[in-house]
Amino acid sequence: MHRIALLLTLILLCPVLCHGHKLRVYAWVEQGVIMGEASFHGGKKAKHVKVIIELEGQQSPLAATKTDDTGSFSLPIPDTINDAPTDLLIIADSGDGHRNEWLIEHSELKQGLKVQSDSEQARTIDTNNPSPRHGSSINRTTAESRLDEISIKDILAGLSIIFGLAGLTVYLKKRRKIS
Amino acid sequence: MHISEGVLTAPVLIAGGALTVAGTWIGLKAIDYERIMVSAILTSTFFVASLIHVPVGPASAHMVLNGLLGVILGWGAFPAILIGLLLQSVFFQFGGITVLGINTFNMAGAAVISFYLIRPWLIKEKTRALAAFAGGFAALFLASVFMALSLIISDTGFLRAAQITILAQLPVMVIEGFVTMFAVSFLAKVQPEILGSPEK
Repeated sequence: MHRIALLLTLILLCPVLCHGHKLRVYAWVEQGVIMGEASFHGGKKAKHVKVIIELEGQQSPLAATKTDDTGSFSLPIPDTINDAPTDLLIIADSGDGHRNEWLIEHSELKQGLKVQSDSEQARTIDTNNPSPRHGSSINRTTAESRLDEISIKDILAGLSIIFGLAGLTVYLKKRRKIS
Repeated sequence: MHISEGVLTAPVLIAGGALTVAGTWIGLKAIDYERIMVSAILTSTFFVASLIHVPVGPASAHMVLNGLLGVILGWGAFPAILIGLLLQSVFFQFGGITVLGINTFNMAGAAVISFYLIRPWLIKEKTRALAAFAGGFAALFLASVFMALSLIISDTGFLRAAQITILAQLPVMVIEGFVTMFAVSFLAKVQPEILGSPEK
């Protein structure tokens, strides 16, 4: 009986073990530049993680970069997307089996390109060293809010851990009582 | 309701952490074998309650339900809320690990105080519903005050933000009062032993 309780507890604790290191990425367009951030599940910044940009549905990378010490990255919108009404896929890959994607829709890209042509200021943005505006735009907030959608998996994992811990406590208390 | 990381000063974080350790120790001793699953159910309720958002003017506040935990678990609210907050910070990115101590103390400390305030009326059938409402309301009110104090002690510049936080929580306090009232009234009918003596 005790073994069954212990086994049940371990099974219930499994979701968090599987979830522990999930890579998250989100991106937005600002004055002709694709900006973004990558982090691990729990909020830890994903430093020096490879980021690839490609057209959705096509496997060939258009551009690539790495995140900096704060988990941020930025890249100019590739010129090749001007004629293709396709969405852009941002892929973050930490190289240890953790990978995630973020989709930037064509309408958002178009808006970003329009702003770029309207203002020559965009050309001064150093894509390797994001400007102080990085992280303060409305576009960023909008993208971040999309990221923060809580999945049913997270909720179930949390509930499983609570009941797993309760099961473990019951098991330990019962064992102490018997001994 | 959750204070984020990087806002509070080290003394406030350390003090909050120490008080939470003490409260959790007492709480773990208070929870006996028969009440473990009740604690787990209430911890689950606390964990998911934060996902229920209440529109307050242009902003929104979320449910906390620390009062419900305090009324039923007494000191047991400390370990329950600690686990709930830890999981919220891991899965929902609410609060954070470094502020876990102070956030737990703010919510669980308020829950325990409200438990002792309303306990004499909660055990009497005539005043039970009103006492439960007061327990739910007072726990969130006190938690908001504790949170405001944590912010002001760290930096007096937070005074305005702290005032707004308490005001924004007022509608949620009323809602939580009713939720606690209905939950306690229901439990008193179907399983009155749950409202036993959690302070033992």
